[in-house]
Amino acid sequence: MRKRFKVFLGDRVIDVEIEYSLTGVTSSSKSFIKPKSISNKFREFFKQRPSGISLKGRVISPISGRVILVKVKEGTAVKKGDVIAVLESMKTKVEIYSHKDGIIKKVLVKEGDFIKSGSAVAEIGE
Amino acid sequence: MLIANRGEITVRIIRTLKTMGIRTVAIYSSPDKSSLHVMLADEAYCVGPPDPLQSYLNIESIIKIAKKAEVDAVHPGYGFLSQNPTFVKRLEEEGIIFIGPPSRVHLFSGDKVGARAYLKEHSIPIIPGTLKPIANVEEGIEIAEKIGYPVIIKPRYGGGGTGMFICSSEKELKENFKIASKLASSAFGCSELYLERYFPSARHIEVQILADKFGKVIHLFERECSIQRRFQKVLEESPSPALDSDLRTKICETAVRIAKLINYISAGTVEFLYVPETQQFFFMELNSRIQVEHPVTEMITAIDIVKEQVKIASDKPLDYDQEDIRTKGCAIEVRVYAEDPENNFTPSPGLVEEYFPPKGPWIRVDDYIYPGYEVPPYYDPLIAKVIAWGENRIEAINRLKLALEEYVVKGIKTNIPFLYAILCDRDFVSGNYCTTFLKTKKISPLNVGKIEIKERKVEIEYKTGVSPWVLSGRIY
Repeated sequence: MRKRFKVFLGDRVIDVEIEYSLTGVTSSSKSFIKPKSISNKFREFFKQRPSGISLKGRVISPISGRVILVKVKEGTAVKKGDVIAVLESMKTKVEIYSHKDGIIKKVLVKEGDFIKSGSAVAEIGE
Repeated sequence: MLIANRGEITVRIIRTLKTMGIRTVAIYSSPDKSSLHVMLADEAYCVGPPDPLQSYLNIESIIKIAKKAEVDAVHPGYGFLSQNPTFVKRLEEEGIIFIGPPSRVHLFSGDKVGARAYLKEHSIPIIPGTLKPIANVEEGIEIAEKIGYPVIIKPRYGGGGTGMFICSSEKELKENFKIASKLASSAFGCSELYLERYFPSARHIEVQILADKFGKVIHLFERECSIQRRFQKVLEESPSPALDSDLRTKICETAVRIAKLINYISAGTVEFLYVPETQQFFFMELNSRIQVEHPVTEMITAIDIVKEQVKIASDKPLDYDQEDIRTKGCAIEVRVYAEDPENNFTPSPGLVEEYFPPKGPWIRVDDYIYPGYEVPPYYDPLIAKVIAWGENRIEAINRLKLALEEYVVKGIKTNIPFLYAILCDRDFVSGNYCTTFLKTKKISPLNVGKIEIKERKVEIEYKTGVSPWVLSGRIY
């Protein structure tokens, strides 16, 4: 038997299909559910480095901290996964990544600024 | 006494000082105004803005407050100014007692290469490596070839695991040398590096010492701190499962010998690297302050290390001889950090919505957060330490696991599920681990919270018409 689930992770939706057989319950737990492969998939999603959260083309910082480095300027072409800025929070460096390809329309922070989690770091246009 | 620090260590120091009948003065940066140490101290003064450089590291501001509050002494805690010779000197000039070693000791232990060379001269075993800072990459490569890869490069004036790089080949050494000297210069103000042989299967064992002003030095046995993540300790225990009694005596006596060699004063820690295959141990460094993991020693020796520090600083001789120091059972500490273990240990500052620390017999929690407190993003992510005592190691592990199961922190992410997973690991439980444990093991966090805090509902109960006269008398 197969069952489909829709899993919501932040602003992402993943389709997960779980296969199991009713007879397999006692005979072989391997064919029952493959929890390992599923949980690995989940883990992958969680393990991603903290990227910015998109909000109408804006890169949002998921964490409070001090901006120690701004890596882009107005007009810089960025790819998904490029570092936009580096924050220092709790004595740790945290990199903020771009969530999509595009061109930086506006940089909203400067080095030395203290920003709160949820505030915008930059705006990305097409 | 003024405590020039924040967080759990300040709370812990205030508690001891209060039992000694000493009035306490706290300092706080602007975002720390509602911190627990401020509430517990008898007096509290704002020392500056959030940036540590302008507040907890600002020597002149702290001295100004110390003079205004007319304190007799300053306790530095750990981190911040605890090993800063300039701070100690400035206090000496102002006639204020520093709870810790004199500035000459900080100067000695701060220069890691100098300390190595000096101790080698006095036939203390040190890790094979350089006795002088390395001038350039070529010299580094030459020495590395002589002592053999892998090697580790460390900043001359380093500390806290910052700027250290393991290099397993000439190529890696070349690559890391530049990064390391850059990091060393930005973090410690000096780009000089030194090089040591790196032992992947070694264990980190340190010895707690106490030394008074009359030349008497005793040790309070060892702590094992091999469970580390990126050179940061995560779990500490005592006694070490790696040592037999002969080796224990040898290491502890070496620590006392080092302390005597340099005329150490106050509480301190001598760190060693122990290589189980060859049963060799090497001096690594000397920490001239109270350590984060000191409760482990306190739990098995029943000696309050902060109290001893204060007594030593007030010119009292040690009350104990070495023979008086007896340990009982086993203690393990885990460090609770505001970090998300599911997300590459990203820091997680913010509002603590619910907080319910573990309780019960043989459990000690050193913390400073409470429900409604906002953990600021400016400082260290350490929010609490949980220490369990047991008659033996397994009992301590089980008690600590139960404690973590009961621990509730909501609003911010913590590494509690990760700590729990370490305690469940078969190799950890059997005592078979080394400093690369967390690097090679891939520990997956385990969420095992047993307590669900339901949404709070405040219901006003109807008032009963009870006469106060009835309440004033008890039936039994």
